[in-house]
Amino acid sequence: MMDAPRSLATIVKSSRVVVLLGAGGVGKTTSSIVMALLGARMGRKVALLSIDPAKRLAAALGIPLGNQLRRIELPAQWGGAAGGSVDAAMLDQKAVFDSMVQRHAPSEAVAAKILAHQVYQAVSSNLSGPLEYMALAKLQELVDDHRYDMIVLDTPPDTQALDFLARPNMLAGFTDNMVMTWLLKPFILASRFGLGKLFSASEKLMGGIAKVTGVHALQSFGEFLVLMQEVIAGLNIAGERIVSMLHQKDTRFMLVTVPNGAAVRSAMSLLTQLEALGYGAELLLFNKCLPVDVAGELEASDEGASPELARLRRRAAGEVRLIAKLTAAATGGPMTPHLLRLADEEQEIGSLAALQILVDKIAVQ
Amino acid sequence: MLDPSGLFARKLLLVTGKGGIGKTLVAAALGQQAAALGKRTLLVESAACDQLAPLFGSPDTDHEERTVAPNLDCINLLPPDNFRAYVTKYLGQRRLYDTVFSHKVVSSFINTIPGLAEVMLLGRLFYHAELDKAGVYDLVVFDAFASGHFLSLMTTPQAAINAGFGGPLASETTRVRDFLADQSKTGIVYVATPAALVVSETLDVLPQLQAKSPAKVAQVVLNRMPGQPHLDLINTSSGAYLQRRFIAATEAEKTLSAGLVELGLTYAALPDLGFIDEPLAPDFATAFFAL
Repeated sequence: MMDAPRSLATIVKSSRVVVLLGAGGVGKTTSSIVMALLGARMGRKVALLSIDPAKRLAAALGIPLGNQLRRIELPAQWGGAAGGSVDAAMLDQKAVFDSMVQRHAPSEAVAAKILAHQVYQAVSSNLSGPLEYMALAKLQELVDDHRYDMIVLDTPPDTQALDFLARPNMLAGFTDNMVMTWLLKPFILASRFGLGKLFSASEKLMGGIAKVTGVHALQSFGEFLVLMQEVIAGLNIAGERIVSMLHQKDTRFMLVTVPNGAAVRSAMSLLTQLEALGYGAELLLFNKCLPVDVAGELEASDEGASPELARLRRRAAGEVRLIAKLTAAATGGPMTPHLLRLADEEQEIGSLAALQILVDKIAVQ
Repeated sequence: MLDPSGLFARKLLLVTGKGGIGKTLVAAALGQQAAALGKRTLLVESAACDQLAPLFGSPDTDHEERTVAPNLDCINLLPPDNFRAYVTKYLGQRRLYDTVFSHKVVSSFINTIPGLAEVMLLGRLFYHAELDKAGVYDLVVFDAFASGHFLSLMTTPQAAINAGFGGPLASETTRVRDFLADQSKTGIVYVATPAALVVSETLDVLPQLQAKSPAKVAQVVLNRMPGQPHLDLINTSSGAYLQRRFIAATEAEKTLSAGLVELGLTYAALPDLGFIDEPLAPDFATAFFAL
């Protein structure tokens, strides 16, 4: 028999790391802030790593964009246990990537060269993929920082695949490209010595690619990879430590979704991937639900034939069905999840005061 | 109400908007309606989690074209397939692909060149919408990425051209960019909902899209617009809830409407259906667009 889910207070008090997962538009960033505030209320020293592409939430809460954490000033009437605090950062991909390069590059000169490189500038600010890896790398830094006893990690809105958990060895593609560096060397040499004869097996392969992409793109990419070698090696070591850290018992995963077919399908897919990696979702949060009083009223009576009411009733029934479906799926895994719900009207967030209301609602569930 | 006939005169529709606002449903309904009007239509997604085919009663979206209704096919385009199709069908270089690109190391390399996956995806949409000599499809509807990611997708062709890609890739990318920029052929359908945060993000993103993307906005859709609740409901919790939502939505609609005027755009509202039953009824789109 499965164990009963642990209470939310137990989970929050005993978690070192809480990772939020969910599709775009399900309120993941808001939920990450709520979890951080809840931790602070229970007296924990929380670091929050969040990702808000619209930057609106960041602006409303005075959280700077970048990779530096800043203390969120909690109002005096906040209450809560003594000693609780939240330091937050809204991760900006380029800022985090830049700091990783500076940290791992063999010298300042190499770091400067990388930062100025055309390919780097394209990768560092324009790609959605690496952001998860960036968040993980930053997470690693914070786990080593003993000023914090709880870390809440939001994941980027486009996260549909958990590759970053399966292979956190920093940009798995780049790793394979240690081999690519070797393959690309002829092009780097060609750029240095002029486009002379290219030979050997690797050059034949690259010659084939160059037929499609042109030579120049390969040259500049090759240069970039050579410069990045040590940075990539440094990040890979960090990646291995992250794997072992995520497998610790005090890391918790929170699946965030909303009660509609598409979002629940996406949540089921994330759950399956999570379980395949040997993790489980301990918290299940449904955002944008019908308010409790409305759901109760609809359940108590089936009077009223207006189309609006019929629509609302269909929504209520659909919500119940989807919540049951995902909960059952999550319960079949390694743990019984604690189920949380928030109503849609509570989630138009523009201020810390509005967030406090959400914390109140969550705290009693 | 939405009259999609102007949209259906095009060859490629790109459906985008903030996450979680019903892009997929709007894309699916556009596809279903076009198919009902006799257009051979391809519905495309490019995602780790299949969302389109389940709306038509199939468990998953295949990576090859699969018919889900009369005149209506679905496909989920994945980067490695896009690359294979690009080199073999598009550049007509099957031997080159077989000897060079199927090599494991090379495929991993392809995934790492910044922008290459995006260029291939757009190239493949272009192929199905315009280039395919068999002319299989009259219309391609792409359930595209959320707005931020979509903006970076749309800026990739020019970035690739500027970044020094050469050879056939550069010339083909130029053709793709020009196809996207041809407003008689390609249009963006931008989906929003009547919520304050969504509307303000929409008004932030639209000018950026219009300025930076070769494809331009053909239609803004205000999805999930609630109707005014019936008066005799007002004394119930449900009625009060519907009324509050209606007021908030009307407020958001006003803001959107005023913002769009400044951008020279108009919008069409689609109703809040409460809950979407799957699979969609065969006449779902007709009813959805008529409300």
